[in-house]
Amino acid sequence: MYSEKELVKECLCDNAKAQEEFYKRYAPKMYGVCLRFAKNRMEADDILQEGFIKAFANLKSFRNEGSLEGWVRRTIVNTAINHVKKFAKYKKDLDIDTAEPVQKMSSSVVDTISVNELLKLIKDLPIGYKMVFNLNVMEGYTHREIASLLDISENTSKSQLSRARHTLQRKVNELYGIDRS
Amino acid sequence: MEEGFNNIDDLLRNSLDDYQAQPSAKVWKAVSRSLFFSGMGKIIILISGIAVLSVAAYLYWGYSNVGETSGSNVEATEIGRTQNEDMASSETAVEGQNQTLGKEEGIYYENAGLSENDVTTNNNNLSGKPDHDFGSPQVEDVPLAEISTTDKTGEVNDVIVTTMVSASVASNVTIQTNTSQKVYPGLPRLSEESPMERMAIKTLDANYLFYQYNPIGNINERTQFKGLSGFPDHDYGRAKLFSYGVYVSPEVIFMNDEAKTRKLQLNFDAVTNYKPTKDFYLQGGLGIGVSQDDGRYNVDYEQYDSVGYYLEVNSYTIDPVTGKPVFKTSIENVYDTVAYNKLSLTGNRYTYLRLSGFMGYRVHYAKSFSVFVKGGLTYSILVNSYEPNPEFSNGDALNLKITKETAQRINDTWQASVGVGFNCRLSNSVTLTGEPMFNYYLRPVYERGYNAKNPYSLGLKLGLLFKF
Repeated sequence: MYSEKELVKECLCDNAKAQEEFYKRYAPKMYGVCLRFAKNRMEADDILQEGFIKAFANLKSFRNEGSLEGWVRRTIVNTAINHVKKFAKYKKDLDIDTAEPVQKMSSSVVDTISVNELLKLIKDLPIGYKMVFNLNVMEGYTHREIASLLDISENTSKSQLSRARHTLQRKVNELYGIDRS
Repeated sequence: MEEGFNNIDDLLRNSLDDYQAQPSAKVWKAVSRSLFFSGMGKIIILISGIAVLSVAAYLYWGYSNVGETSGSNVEATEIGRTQNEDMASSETAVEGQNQTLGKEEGIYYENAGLSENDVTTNNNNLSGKPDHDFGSPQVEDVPLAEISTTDKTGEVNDVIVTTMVSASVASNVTIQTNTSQKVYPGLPRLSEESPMERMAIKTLDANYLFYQYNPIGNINERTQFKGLSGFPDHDYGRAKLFSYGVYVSPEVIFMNDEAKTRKLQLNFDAVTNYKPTKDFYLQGGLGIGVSQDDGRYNVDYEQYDSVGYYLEVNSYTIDPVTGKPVFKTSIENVYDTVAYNKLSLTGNRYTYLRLSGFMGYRVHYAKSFSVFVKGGLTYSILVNSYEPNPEFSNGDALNLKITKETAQRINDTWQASVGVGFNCRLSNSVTLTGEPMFNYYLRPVYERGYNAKNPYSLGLKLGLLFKF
């Protein structure tokens, strides 16, 4: 079991065992990230594969500042963004916020929703919503960063996020029969 | 409302942030294959670089060192050697003017008065029979003044002579020179007055010059006397017109495209060398080359998917205060058939039959090591293509259309190759050879339209040559 620094050092020396450990250590978590961006598991596999190849190729640029997992995650997210931009035709919706109220859910409702169901909710979002929601809420990117990454305006990013939230909220309500009135 | 937003954000973030799932085993296979090829490419380039630098350094320092000791007044003494003696036991001593070399048992000197110019022969471990019989030794008493030669600058240098002595035959061998007559071991006296003998003297003098500038290389240089009676063609007595070899040569191909794509190829070749002269040789080869490449498939499909939503007005009321309508709405998702496109890559393999023709020239050699330059052409014919179908599994996909976009390989191509190589003789009949090569494809490997530029490659040919 290598420490983070040792793992990086050994991977840079083309140590096959270390490279496999690197992959096994981070792949499951990164695959969870990929699944949120991808439409299906096959696409998630492609993103993960491309992301890890990039991670190994650019590992020399990791300077042991911050966690290795965070660095790998950023690489995977960037790969996912490029992948989606390259292969999917996502719409840039107009910047119209809805005034639909969003309800607070009880903890009992939250407890009854499985992770897979939540994942499906995100995966089923229109691709523009999904990208912005993932980047802002899940990955912590600002609207300015998202605008830059996706080549959209900040306002579009904000409106996409708002719509994503409403859609998710409505789907949760529908699934668990929460009265909206 | 903000609280509600935070609530759904927290719900998803807390639930999915640490979510883990096991990816398909194919992912690691693909990643590890990519890492392997990347590593192999680095190793090939590294080994080729080291080999080129080593050869260059050897040539540079080898000649430089010779230059430092090859001034006037240099005596070269070669140590006698028996047929079964290991090459490592041979050595050469270079001494300064007037230095008396050690005279060991079994060495006989005549012309003891020639303190500056006499032939000095050193000998270690002389035992058994000599490997060459130089014939009857001839001894000439030549005045000191006559044993000088004049170099290009007009300076008078002492004569440098090299010979071998066998203790068992107790032969006293002396090579001496003067301006009108020269005597070499195993040869009759040569006179400059005869045109034929003058030619022979020139040949032998050329060898003398070679010795002067290559004092460390005087074992194999005896082949310089090839064709003259009393001297063998080769130290090992195994000079052959033909030799045969096998090569394995990994090669990194730079596709010369915008993406700077690199491919790997592994070649296996069997060759025959024809060596009509001492330094020049021709090589013909037959082999196979196995090349890896990506298969590209464009997968277009449609899927019933959510494309957005709208607010449906369920009812409305008139606000009694403002008199304006208040709408009660619900969100309705809109689904439609959405077109998707993805690229699927496969691992293709191509096998080529290779016919090659090379010319080589030995530029330097010392003991069992030699350096040569080499160039030639290779003609490759595509004999087998392995192109697996793409894998695609999506139960929701509609109107699936898979378009093959794999760059079509052309059926035959030419490569021009140049390289520097080295031979290391392992035994009388086996030689290890290594040749970093630069190859330029005279035609693109893909059909027109895929890659307009001609690729080039760096390879390292490693092989064994056999003389039977």
